[in-house]
Amino acid sequence: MGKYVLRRLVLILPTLLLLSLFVFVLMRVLPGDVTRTIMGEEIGATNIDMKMSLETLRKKIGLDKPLYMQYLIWVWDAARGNFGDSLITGKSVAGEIAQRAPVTMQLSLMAMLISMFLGIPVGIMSAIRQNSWIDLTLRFWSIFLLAAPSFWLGLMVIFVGAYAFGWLPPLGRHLLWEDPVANLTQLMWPALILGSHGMATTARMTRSTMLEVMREDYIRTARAKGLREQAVIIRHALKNTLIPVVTLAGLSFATLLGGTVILEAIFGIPGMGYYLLNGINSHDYTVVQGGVMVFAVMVMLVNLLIDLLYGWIDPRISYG
Amino acid sequence: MAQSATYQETIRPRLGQRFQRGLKGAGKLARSQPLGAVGFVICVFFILVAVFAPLVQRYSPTDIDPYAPARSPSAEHWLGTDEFGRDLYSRMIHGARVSLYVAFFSILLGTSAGYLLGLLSGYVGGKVDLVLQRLIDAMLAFPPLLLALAMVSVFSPGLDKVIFAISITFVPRAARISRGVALSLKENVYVDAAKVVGASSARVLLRHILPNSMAPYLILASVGLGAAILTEASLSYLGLGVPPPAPSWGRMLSGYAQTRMLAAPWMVIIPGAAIMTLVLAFNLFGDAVRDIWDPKLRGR
Repeated sequence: MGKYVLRRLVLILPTLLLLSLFVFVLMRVLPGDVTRTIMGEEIGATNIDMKMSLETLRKKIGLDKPLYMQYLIWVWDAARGNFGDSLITGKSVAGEIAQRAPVTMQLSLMAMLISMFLGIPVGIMSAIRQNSWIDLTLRFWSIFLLAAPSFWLGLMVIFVGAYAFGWLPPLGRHLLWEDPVANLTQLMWPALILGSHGMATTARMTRSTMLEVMREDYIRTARAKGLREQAVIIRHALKNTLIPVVTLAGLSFATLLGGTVILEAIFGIPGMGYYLLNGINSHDYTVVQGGVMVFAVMVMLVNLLIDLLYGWIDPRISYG
Repeated sequence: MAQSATYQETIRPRLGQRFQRGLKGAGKLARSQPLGAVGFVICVFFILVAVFAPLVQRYSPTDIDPYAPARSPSAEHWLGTDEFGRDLYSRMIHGARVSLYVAFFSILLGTSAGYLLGLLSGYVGGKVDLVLQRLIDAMLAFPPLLLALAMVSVFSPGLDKVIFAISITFVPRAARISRGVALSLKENVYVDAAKVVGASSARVLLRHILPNSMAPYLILASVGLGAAILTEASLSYLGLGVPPPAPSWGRMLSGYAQTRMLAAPWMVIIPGAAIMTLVLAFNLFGDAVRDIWDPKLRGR
């Protein structure tokens, strides 16, 4: 088991390198001059001296060096936790990310928990009462939630909240352990919306898996033994249903993280997604590179965790 | 008389009969998949609207009317106007064009490229497979929206850049699935037979593996259409989609519509509802396609 974990952790490195190379090259391939964009947008910026010539700026960013050198320097710095400074504000990228990551992590974790804790019971309910009114209604809602764009749902929530209740989501940075009420009111709706997609998917997956499991022979045996239906479901069907469902729910974490970008922008949450979005819009390459890498690392770590969890839950699997 | 009559004269189905049989078959299909049929009808409706947009519009979607900004729906402007006085109804139907165009082509490009890549990887195996697998894993681990965002932000804005960016997000999943298909298909006897006769790998791939793997491809494509539309809408909402003045449902939800939501709710409700309906229709259609062609596959 330990060897497997180690091997997976080691495998993360080349994948990350590949990804970083991909992102790095993408950023540098821009037709046009980065420095001109920066200077043009930032007359009067805090950190860039207006008297600085374009050449000096290029030297400062390191654009005068050949591409591979830039990449190697960046990787070397990044490995030690230094993602450089924002080209626009001059603040340390790593520092900003460290500040904002907890918010985004909390949002995505809440969304994932919502999608699992709402989706799985919905799916089970749908499966055991197949084709009943409950089933049809729940499936109907699942399909709807899958189709609604998350940013539209966010806008609708704010609209209904403001129009009918005169309520707006609180702004600013509220950490869970400092101000739980503000934190939860701020993150509740975005987490719900973010998780709605996952909830619908999980519900459908749970339903179809459960339907298959219920047709299995061991379920028939359990019933023949005389167990109550409830016991049959909880003790036998549930565990086998949960294995693929949890795996899939966990693997959709990547999509969840992507969704935080939009939702943070709508609800004004100071998280990594918003930061990355601003960086992309203002062509702030250091921010984009650092942000993208951190996102990728988070996704890979979560995937690794899910794999380990999967191996632990399913007794048939043993990692050598 | 019956003995010497030819097939042509007696039993060969006439055109009318063929048509009837086709309709009956379609009817049976529709009844077995009612939701899919509904989705299909809605899709066809949107497609027709998009194709005939210039004929159905009441104003040009880009005509500014400074005397009628942000009007609510009326007899004059069926869906109201936006902040520049452009007729929302016309913009909506042209937006359908954009959404459908982008969605179709990005799915076509992305799923095809990914599928072929996976087939190759699965069939050839060995080092090629290993390297490609790592690449695909790296791409899969990445939030698709972020990938599309990053790509679109690098290139100058444009329709084709958007299509390219969105199509890339479909490559890894298509490759994953087709690799599995190739792995299982290459164990078939006819592959060995072809190789014995001297067929090259390319020939085996093209004439044996590819035609037999169409079903998962079609399922992937139809299921992915909804996702493509959502991605395009998200990109447009963030301002990184199809550039103005081309109308895009996603972009119509940002900017003025967003800040003046309380005063002009229809500007937010209508495009969003349209996106949702179209995605819903495609999802239903895709689900039906999957149910028909691969009942073993679990609901996603």
